[in-house]
Amino acid sequence: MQYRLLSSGGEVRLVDDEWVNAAITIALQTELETGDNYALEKLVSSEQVLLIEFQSVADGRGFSSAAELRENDGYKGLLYACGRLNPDQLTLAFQCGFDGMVVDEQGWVSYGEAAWQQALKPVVDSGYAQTRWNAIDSIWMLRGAAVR
Amino acid sequence: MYQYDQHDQKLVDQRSQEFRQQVSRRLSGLISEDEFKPLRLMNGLYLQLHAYMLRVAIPYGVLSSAQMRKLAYIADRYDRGYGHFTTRQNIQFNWPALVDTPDILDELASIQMHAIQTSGNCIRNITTDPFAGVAADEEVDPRPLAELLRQWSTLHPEFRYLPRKFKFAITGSANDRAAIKVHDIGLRLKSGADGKVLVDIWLGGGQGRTPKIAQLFRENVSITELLPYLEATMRVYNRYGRRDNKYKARIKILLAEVGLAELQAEVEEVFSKIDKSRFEPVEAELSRLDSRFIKPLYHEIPEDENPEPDEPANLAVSLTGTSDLNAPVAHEYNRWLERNVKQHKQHGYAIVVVSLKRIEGIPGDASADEMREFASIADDYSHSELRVTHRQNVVLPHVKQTDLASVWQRLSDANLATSNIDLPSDIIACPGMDYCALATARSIPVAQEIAAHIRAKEKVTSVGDLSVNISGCINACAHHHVANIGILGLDRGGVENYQITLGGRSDENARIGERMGRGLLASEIAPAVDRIIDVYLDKRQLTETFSDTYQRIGKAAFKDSIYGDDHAIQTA
Amino acid sequence: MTMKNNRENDDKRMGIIIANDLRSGLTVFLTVAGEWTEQLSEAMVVVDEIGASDALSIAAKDEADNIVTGAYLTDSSESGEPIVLREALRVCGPSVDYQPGRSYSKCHPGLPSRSAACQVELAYSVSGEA
Ligand code: SF4
Repeated sequence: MQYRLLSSGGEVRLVDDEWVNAAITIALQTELETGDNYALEKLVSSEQVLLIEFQSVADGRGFSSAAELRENDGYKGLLYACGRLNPDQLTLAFQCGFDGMVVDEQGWVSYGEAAWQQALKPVVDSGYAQTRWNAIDSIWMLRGAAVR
Repeated sequence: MYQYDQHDQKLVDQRSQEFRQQVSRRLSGLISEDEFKPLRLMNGLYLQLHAYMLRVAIPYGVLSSAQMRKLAYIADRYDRGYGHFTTRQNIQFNWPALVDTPDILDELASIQMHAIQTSGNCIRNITTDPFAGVAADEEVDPRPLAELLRQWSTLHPEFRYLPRKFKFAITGSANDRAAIKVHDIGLRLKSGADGKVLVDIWLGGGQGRTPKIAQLFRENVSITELLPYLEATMRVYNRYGRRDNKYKARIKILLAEVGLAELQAEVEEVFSKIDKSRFEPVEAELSRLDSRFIKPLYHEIPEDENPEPDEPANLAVSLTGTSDLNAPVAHEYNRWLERNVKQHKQHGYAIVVVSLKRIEGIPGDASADEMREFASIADDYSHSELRVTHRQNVVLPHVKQTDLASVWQRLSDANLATSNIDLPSDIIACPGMDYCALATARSIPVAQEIAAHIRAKEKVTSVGDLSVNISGCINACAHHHVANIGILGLDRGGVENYQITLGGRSDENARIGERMGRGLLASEIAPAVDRIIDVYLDKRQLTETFSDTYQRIGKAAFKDSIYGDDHAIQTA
Repeated sequence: MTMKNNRENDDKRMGIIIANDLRSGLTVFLTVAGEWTEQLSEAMVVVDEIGASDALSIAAKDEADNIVTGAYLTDSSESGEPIVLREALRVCGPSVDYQPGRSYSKCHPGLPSRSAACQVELAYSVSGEA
């Protein structure tokens, strides 16, 4: 299988099963007691690529998992989304700390290249009150700067 | 009133442009209904029983007269001349055409309004005390924080696809008029020893199929820690809230399944590692927000002067030429002063609640003409400001005591002076099966019948505050679980059937009402409510409220009154 | 496309096809001519399974062509009035006056239970009678 690896810089690269298999896919747990199997000590220092899978467009767990991995666990390596995200959600994924997304053939075709390319364009508008890993200033920062 | 700056304005403008493109893609067939549905829902556009329905947010229930006029204009131009104020401080338009909705959103954006996050599994419009900033008993004005939370939650990238919708309510008063204990998160603002604001976080309240009263989750959170703490809470909920069953997806179920201590521990851990600098400069922003709530310039009245509302007798003189206190106008005006006028924190001022519960009307509905009249009265007498309440009424928040008689006359001329605030006929009713696609029974006609049935009694007896709420399905939009008398409409074999719960309340001592027994037919409800009220009037001691009496004497007497003699057979 | 069919399993039953007009959102009915109307009196009453499946496939095509949305078949009387309360309300419009004396009810200027035009037993009479 071929996949497209979309990165926040706007780059689209073809990758194959081998690349995907070499990455570590984090299995999100639904129970708080069990937690996610991050095996963190290993990951934080790792050179490896991490994948977080979105099981449906309505399943927003991955956004928080990414944010937690970056913010709470200090993960600095590469982090990609995969699974059933749509182009509109790709923007959110960047804001939550993903470097990009792995899109399979079906997802690529069903939303169409144009929609994905559009989603990769640097976000021009602000994240409103949010500032995240896409380094856009929040409106609160902008207002603070205006006062100074 | 909060005034948008360029950033706020840009957001609503962009959002409305984006929706225009989405609608045009839908109309030209570029996207299917399945693809379009989540997009329209993100902009508050539902497809209901008869037509599309647009739900517009009224953030924390505050409206300017200009905004109210625009809502009237939208109702006339794009709808059928009326709108429905909901229990979540929103307004719903019942008949907009899809082709017109981009124009409606433009109209809204032009007066700093929008429909963002009025639907979908995200943080919904944040509600608060309708008397915020003016209530005599208020400790902290919740509006600046409510606006801060609106900004924080709007388009939050992490929380757009939660397990389920998420509702916040805020109060800054010990007397909770915002029902914070039946929201996913309720915030109680207090003023701390050094004058700094502290927040108690109540979590896991809710209605619907599994009603729950919130638990105290964390006490005395400082303003600087509040946003990171809420973000940590939402993050834990987003990751572990159930997604396998939509009836178990609210945070109240996570709390029940995991337990308070464990959920607190998890949130604390996430909170401890959150980068607090992301929320900077929150204190500066909060004081900026505070300054953008343009405060009305009250007419300073010396403490030793005590301007009173015009005496009913004088009013009778000016209207009828006689000073007969028994003249109907004097009597009506007096009742209205008693029921609809509340104490203001500013000396010489009063809060006026305008009832949208005319006996023959639809609870929460207002026509375009009425909306314009609200706006005009607000311009003349209330510093151009209005509020909408979660009890589906409208508030004139800054009325001079000495203007009360004039305000009453204006309202009375417009048939808007129904003097029943918090009385049994001030019924909260959801749209039910007359409008709502999810309904299992009608609510409005039943509410009308109850109101007609009990109005006379409530005028001649001193029944006092007593809440009657009716929902058209288990989603409980009318908060029937926490009404003194709650009514839930169900479908039993194709016939509307109504279940009664008693003893609920939504204030600081919130309780879930108890279910009585088998459901009743629509025609049996109003007489049953009447008999329930009789039991209360008969058994209450001194100033006992309905729920006090209910707690003291228990279910039996009330149940007997509902089912009469066949009750024994039914419960055997 | 799979279409919702809210009739019970009884092929003797009659029904009409209800949908929402995509642009206006208003409730519309499929006519014999394969068009959509807001007038219940013009609705086609399907009387058997073949009629039903033909009608549903027209509806499915019109959904795909973005003319209507959410089409389905619902039980009706011989003359096309829906049997189920919810559908009756959908057809007739709200059973309450949106303002005193002003109503958007289509088939009963007064109240549904008092209306002869809408032959549906709504099991309930409103205000003033009890
Ligand atoms: S309670 Fe049910 S019927 Fe009433 S508005 Fe909510 S979803 Fe609709």
